[in-house]
Amino acid sequence: MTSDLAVREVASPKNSRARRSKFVSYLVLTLGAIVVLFPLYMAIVSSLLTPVQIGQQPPLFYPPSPQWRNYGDAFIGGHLSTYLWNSVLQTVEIVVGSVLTSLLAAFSFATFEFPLKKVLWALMLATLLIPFEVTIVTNYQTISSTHLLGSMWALTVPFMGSAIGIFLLRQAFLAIPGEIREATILDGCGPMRYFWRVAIPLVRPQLAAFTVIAVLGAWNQYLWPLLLTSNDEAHRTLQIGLKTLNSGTFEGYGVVLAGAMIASVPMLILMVVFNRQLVRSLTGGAIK
Amino acid sequence: MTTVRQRRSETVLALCLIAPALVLLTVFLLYPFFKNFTLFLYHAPPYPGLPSKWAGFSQFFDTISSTSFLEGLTATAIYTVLVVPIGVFLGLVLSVAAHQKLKGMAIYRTIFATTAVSSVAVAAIVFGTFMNPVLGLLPWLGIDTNPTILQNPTWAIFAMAIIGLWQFIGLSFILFSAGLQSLPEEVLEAAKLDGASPAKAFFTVTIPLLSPTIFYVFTVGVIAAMFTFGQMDLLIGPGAASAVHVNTLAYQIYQYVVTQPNPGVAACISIALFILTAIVTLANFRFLERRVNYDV
Amino acid sequence: MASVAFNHVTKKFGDTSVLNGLDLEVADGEFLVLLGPSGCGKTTALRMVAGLESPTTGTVAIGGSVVNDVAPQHRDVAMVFQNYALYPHLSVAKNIEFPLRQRDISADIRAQKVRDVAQMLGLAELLDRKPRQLSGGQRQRVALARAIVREPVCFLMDEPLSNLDATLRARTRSEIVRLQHELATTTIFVTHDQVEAMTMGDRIAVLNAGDLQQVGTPTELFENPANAFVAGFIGNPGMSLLSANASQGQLAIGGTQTPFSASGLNGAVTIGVRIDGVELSSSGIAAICDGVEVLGAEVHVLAHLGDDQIIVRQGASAPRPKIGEQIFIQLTTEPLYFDAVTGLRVSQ
Ligand SMILES: Nc1ncnc2c1ncn2[C@@H]1O[C@H](COP(=O)(O)OP(=O)(O)OP(=O)(O)O)[C@@H](O)[C@H]1O
Ligand SMILES: [Mg+2]
Repeated sequence: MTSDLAVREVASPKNSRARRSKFVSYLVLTLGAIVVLFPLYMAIVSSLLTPVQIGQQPPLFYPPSPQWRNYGDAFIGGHLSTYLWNSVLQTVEIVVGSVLTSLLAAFSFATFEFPLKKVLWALMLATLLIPFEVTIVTNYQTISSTHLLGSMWALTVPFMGSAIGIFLLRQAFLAIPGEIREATILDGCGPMRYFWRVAIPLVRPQLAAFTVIAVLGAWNQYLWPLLLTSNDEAHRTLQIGLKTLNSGTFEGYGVVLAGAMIASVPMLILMVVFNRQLVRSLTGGAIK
Repeated sequence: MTTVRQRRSETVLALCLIAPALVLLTVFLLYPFFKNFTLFLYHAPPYPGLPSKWAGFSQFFDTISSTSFLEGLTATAIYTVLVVPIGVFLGLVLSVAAHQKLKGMAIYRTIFATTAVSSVAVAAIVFGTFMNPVLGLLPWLGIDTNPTILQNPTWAIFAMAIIGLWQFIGLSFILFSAGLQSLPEEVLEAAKLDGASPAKAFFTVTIPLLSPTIFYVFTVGVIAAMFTFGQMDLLIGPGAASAVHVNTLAYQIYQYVVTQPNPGVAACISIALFILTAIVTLANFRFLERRVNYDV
Repeated sequence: MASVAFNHVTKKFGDTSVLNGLDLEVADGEFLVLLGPSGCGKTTALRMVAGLESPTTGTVAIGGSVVNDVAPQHRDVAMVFQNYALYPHLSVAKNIEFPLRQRDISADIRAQKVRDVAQMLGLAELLDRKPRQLSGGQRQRVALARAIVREPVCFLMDEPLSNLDATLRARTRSEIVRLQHELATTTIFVTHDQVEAMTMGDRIAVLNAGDLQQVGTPTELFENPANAFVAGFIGNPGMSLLSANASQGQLAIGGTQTPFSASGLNGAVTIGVRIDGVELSSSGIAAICDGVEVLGAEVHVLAHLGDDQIIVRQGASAPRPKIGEQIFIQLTTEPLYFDAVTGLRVSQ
């Protein structure tokens, strides 16, 4: 009887407190989610409205008759199909290039002893501190002076080396136990065979993580494509295409928003599918 | 264990593997970065093709004391102040709320992460459209849009900041969630068992333990904010940016490369901006170092 | 198949000397155990045979030819690592096959060899599993299989049993010995566990602090330890080492006379006594009881006299001394004598 009472005395404030904190959590999260999603939601709704409906007072919070043709107009009239293809190409080139060069360099730094290793490593780390923005003056001149200009390569080659990639992947290669490498040596396996057959499969999680941020970074690039493709429609990427679409007068806001949705869908899918890799790479080593 | 010949061939292999990355990073980061330090000594030629004229350090000091630079610095600073503290705070609050084993957390996580993967162009278009007075949303909310926000010298920077903030919340949330996950569970449990109220536990346990993460997110946010110019470019443009006080330093670099080419001045601003970020980065290192010492 | 020889091998890491002139021959087909306490340089010695470490001075020879300058992959030795170093991303079959793939061997023959070895080691059912889906003992067998499938001239095993539980360890010991006899491949087996050494080795090389102490068959080492270190290290338990005094044909321990003459010796001497060479008694050498270990049929009484530790056996039913209680000990067989300073065996 007494113990029963004691239990209740202890339990009830705790329970109600736990319930209250649960309630507060949901409240905070739901409010936050609404604030975060509202603009996106409105954008989706408006991308399905006619120009007249968009200007309506009070605003429409759902599309009464979804204007799918806005998407078609964005694709065809707004040339988004071309830009989309360019963005895909650009992303693939940057990702393949930076993943490959980073893998090779990271493996080398993690595996071999060679003269100047420390100096070269310091150089790599130093590039981590240089923001791309402060290099565009010269990079623009460099690219303009090569015949890369006017091709997709101009957009991608400058990003095919990645200090972050080298850093993350070196970390991963270093985490492979030394005995595994030694076992392969005794089994008669040379360094490159070890690289392909053993090391790369073992760093797959980190490789996936780096690939995901590389995709994200390449797809969302703004400054460099802006510099190169503002006047070069043939190589314009989706992000810059959105700017063109936005400054165009004829299309209407529904079409512009449709374009924005088209540009964001691939990354949203990426995020939902590869959420874990994304988090791992965004926090990359700075936070365990 | 290895003969001299083997060691030499291994060295060759090692250097060959590094070469592609090294060449790329040197050509597209190191070289152009250091090139700034020669460019900034020369005036741009009056006409393209003419030789550049030696300016010495005066050009640098002229640039960083010019009105436009100071305006750019102010715009960058205001933008950073508007975006980063609020973004850090909101990210922290949301991540703490989501750091519980409750139903539906995965959905919330996904929602908050969406903003981190949205490009600046998408964010600018989504928000920019609704800031347009032709559309119904703002008037309906009772917000006077004359002159329109994007053309308003007082409010344009806030419009830019809201876009940046929206994007930053996602990243801030992700980083804090990871930071929370790396905290020792027992410590938080212990605080609960000691009878601390959630609010008290949050301020006396979670926040101190999370302080390195807070600092890190802060740094990441500040550096990103200092290089912002996408929404300015997309919604306002190089001509009007200055008039509405959103002509950030990063945007000015772009303008001096493209719209009014002047490599010397562009280099000066690049150097100034780099020094500012270097200070932030070093402060971050110092802080983390101190924390490590403290921990051990 | 080949012999392995260390010829005056020294190894230094920077300033620390890990091996001080090791001279050791392992005969073709022999099972040699390299035994010693932690940090004495066993792994280093083994890795020098593999070629993963090179001697600072001296030579390592395999099959009679010096291999100092031969790359590890050309030495044709197989190593079983302490934590097995299995390739985590490959199935058991692929792990075993891995060394074969590096050579010119057709897929059919490879598959056949993998099957044979897997059969030999009872891994046939597990060929499709990944290492993380295996128990410790199964992983250990995969590591063995990967070494065996190569048919190397020499097996190098670095404490391959230390991650197994006691029962499994005992079973695996005999299994490895059986396999080694079947294959008749020269084997160097590193361990710090003298029970493993005694039960497995054709011969044992005892190493301490970089110095080779003694090489011999388990029986030789047990019965004729060359020095006090080997005496104390070999046997379960090892010999108890006591400081004693010999004068005028009388051996005295802690001032108490013993019936033994220590003939030819004079002055301070270290004696080694096996557990069955002493017994508790109502009078004799005084010692203080430190504890009692009950091992079932018998009981070990741990005691100290001065700075020396001693272990005495007692029947399970005898009254047990309490900790801190004074007990008396008598020697029942003549002890071994070691130089009090150098620890070397003093022959009588
Ligand atoms: N690469 C190295 N650099 C410096 N010192 C080393 C290196 N490898 C081993 N040592 C040192 O050499 C000594 C012998 O090491 P080794 O690994 O051979 O010991 P071990 O007998 O195998 O010990 P254990 O039974 O603990 O494995 C140790 O003191 C160790 O610290
Ligand atoms: Mg060892």
